[in-house]
Amino acid sequence: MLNRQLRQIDTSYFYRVIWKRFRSNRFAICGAMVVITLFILSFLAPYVTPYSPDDLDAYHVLLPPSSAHWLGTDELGRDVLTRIIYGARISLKVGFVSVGIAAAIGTVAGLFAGYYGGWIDQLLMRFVDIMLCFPTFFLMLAVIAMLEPSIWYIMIIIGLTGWMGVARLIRAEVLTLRERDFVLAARSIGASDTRIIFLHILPNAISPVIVTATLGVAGAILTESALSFLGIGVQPPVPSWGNMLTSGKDYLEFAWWLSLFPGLAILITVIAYNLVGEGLRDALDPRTQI
Amino acid sequence: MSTNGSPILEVRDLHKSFEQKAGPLLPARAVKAVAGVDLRLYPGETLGLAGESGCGKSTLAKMIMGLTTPSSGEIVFKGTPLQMLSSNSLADFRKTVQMVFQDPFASLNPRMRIGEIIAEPMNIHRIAPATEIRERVARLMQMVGISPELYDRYPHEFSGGQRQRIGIARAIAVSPQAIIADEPLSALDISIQAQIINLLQELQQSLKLAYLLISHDLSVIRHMSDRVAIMYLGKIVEEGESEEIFTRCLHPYTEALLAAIPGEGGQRRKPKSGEMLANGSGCPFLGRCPYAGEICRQAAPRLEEKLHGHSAACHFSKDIFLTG
Repeated sequence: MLNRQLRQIDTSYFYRVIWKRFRSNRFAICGAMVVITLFILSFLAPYVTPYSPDDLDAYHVLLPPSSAHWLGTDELGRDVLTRIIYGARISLKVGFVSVGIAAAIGTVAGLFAGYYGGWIDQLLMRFVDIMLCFPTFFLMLAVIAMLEPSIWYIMIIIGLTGWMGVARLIRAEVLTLRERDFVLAARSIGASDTRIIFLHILPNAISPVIVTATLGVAGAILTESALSFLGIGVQPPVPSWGNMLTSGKDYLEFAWWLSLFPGLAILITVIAYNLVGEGLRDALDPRTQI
Repeated sequence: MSTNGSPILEVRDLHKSFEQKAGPLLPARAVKAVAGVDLRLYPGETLGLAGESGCGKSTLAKMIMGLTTPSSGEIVFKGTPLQMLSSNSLADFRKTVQMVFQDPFASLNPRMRIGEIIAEPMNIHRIAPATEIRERVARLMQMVGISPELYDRYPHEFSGGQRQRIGIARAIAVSPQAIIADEPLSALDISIQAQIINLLQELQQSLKLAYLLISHDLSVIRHMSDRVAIMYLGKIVEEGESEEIFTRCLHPYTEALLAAIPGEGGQRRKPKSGEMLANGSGCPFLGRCPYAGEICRQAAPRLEEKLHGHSAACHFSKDIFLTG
């Protein structure tokens, strides 16, 4: 019985150490709390607010914040808080899907470039250089101008233009791991390349991916907001923080709440993700290896 | 002991040089890490390979394990050169020849449980059904003196000596005939070294293992080896039965190494300090040799049998060491 308990504690050793380091970083914990709150709010959106994001109300247009509408109403009488909460769904979806795509592509590219080296490495890394020189934002504008604006295109494009950092990080990790004794040991017992890459190298190279991915979520949310602000992202009436800012800017002089609160939502979310990302970087840093 | 059937491994005229490409200011040059080595490892014996740091011992070990490609020469496994092995025989080679690494902190994957680490060679070579592997791992752990209850622990929870035991368990998991041990003791405390030496010797007895023991520590080499090869600047300069080498060395470099063992070889002449001359046509040991003569400047000596089963690469072996 005791033995089994000991065993269970030991299996989670790495996570325990990482959690301990993460926990000691107060900013990271604040960020994590904001992120978790956002998740809960966006999942439970219909239950936390009495309004619907599309409810038009011609009698309550452009009302300032009050006890009935905590963050006021917009030019069509819709509740701003409700729309921000529903907008969080979009932001989280964009953040995670696009970063998921970027991390997957970047990890595979980095693993191959670093492990096989030679012309594969040259090819992939020159391609990374080219992609980095590309003005990605204009690429997105061009692509969306040709296709119709859709949240899925946005997520895919953000993902396809955001993997280079991950690829470089993973490649650098793999270059050092490849020469480590435990990898040589695996080769000398006859392990296949696939086995070495996925069993021995990837688990030891994953920390920087987690960090970059977390920071990348913040970047993706900003990009989506910018695209929506320019009117080529998420299309009204679906609420997103970016298109709320767009409609708010016309009323800036007499309805400041329309612009301020979506802007604050973006700001706080991005800061929260960055804090979590930096907390994870410190907690996962291999140089403070146990 | 030295001719116990046909060799498991034979190294023939092995070379490895690392190219340095020409830069804007530097001409291209090649560093010769291994410059023509011949070795044979027979079943059940321990061949000690000694030499100072940087003389090419580890490069040689890596080439034998197929982790580095030789520039020229060949490694012959049971009569077939390594690069000609079919994939079946290559798997056989991987099972027959295993390696124990120097640094027990670097040679175990930090994200794997030690049980998984020991089981991995068996999984790769599919030598037992999955249900049996755990049992085998437990037996291996017992053999190397680690409690099988620790199967689920991670490497960082063990001390250096224990980790080296785990590395040894991994090496013997597929019942090899030969183990290449690259400085298996140098990262350990003296007291732990003795335990690992005993473990290696016990395992050699019970499993009929052959060791290629690479070390710069001559007392360890002397204690464990049947035959000894001394390496200097990528070449074997002296080779023979262990006792022969330690009582009647035939090369000034070996003499210098022996003189450096504390408490031994008090009257032996110390070598001059000086440049290591790797280039030119003369003897590579020329700059440090207290006996060098004119012929040493002109021609590099070849490794020749001077006494029965005892070779050395020195023009003056007989004059200096045998006539006294």
